[in-house]
Amino acid sequence: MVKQGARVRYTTIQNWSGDVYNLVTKRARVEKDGIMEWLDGNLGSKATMKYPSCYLVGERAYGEVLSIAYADGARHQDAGAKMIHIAPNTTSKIISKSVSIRGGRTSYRGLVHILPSATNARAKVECDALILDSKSASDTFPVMRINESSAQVEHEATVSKLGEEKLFYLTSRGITKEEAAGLIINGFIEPIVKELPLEYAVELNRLIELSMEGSVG
Amino acid sequence: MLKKASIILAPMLEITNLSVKSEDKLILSSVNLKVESGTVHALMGPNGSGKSTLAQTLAGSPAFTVTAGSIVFKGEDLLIKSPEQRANLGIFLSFQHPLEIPGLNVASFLRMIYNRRVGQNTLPVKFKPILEEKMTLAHMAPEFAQRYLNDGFSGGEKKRMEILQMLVLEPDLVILDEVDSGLDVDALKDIAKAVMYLKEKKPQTAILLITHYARILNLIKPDLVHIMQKGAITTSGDSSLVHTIETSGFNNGK
Repeated sequence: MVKQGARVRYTTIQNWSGDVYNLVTKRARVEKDGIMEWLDGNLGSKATMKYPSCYLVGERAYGEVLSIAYADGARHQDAGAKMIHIAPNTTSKIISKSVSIRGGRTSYRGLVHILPSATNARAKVECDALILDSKSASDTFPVMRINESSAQVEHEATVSKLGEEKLFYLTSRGITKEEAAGLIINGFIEPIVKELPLEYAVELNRLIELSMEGSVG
Repeated sequence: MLKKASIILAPMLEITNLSVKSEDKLILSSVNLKVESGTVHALMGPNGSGKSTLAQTLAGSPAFTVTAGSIVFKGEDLLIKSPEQRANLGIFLSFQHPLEIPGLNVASFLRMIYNRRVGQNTLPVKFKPILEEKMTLAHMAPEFAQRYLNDGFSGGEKKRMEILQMLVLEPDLVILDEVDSGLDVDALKDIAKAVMYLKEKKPQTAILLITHYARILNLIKPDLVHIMQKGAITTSGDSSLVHTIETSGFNNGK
């Protein structure tokens, strides 16, 4: 519950072992001029289903979800966000970055719902997927339910592969293919990582470097 | 009587009968080239003649397959080495089209490759003054150190970033693949100056300069000029060859 004019940032980085089902509900109710920020990083577990949500009930309330999903091998990261705009002039932003490797699967599942009561609401969704090899996959399921004509909604999505050319460029400077791939992946998630507290950011970069060892042929 | 000791030095780089293909298309056929340490070679030729393919092959690009011939660098067979092994042996390729790596901090990347080259871990505080000196030489503003590698850089800025990487690595063989294309006169002078600085600091450095234009060759004077046509080196000569090409084109350069 984010009261009038308050700001809450909730940061989670999870790296569960491979036999854990990680099914989580996260909801925030945001009142007038309140700010709710969910920062969410999901690495391990057998399957994760997690969609932090913000109910923007007060005028000018703001909700944000920054999420990173990293699916390595037999993992399925099904992550996303829900933004429910109820009051006028509410704004929201969802930025989702996912990486799938060695047969991993990532899904972005998101909902932006703008109710008739939410006049002049603005919502922005950006989801970027990086797929590292031909065994891995990524899906996007964005749902936009817009019931108010004054709403401004943006949705951007990109899918990229780990380019052979980029790897060659970096390795030609004297670093290994694994190191180069790690730099490209860490660069991909950097816009979110830079928002993290330093210890978390270092931990996340290390985990990805570790997972890269011996992974690129 | 004093007899001069005869020392037979193998060239730094020796390319013999090299044939290269890309996706079943033969691009280079029987290329021969010797580069002695400390020399400057210019490689000229029309578009599509195979100059960039040769540069990329030397650096170990996976886009090309060597079908015949050999490349020996400092006595080692280059063809069995990975791109990073070649870089660590002292080969540097300045890319014609440098790639953008979003999110990769320039300063930390340069420190990483510097550490690999010198074989020890240089702490960020120790690396900072080294980097600042090299950035001054490459005429780059200090804020570039905190940007992402080539991300959103202009064409000229990307070329300066290549030159900065060259200054950080101080390689033994510098391959400049059309470093002069799309540059204004001032930027060209800055880049030439940085290359000449490296040559003065490390006189044994060899340079292979790939270009279409004589302009850069007035600033970095070649000892030898080679003309490549249809995947083979057809003519080699001294710098006077540049003027022949300037006046009568590649076809009459023989």
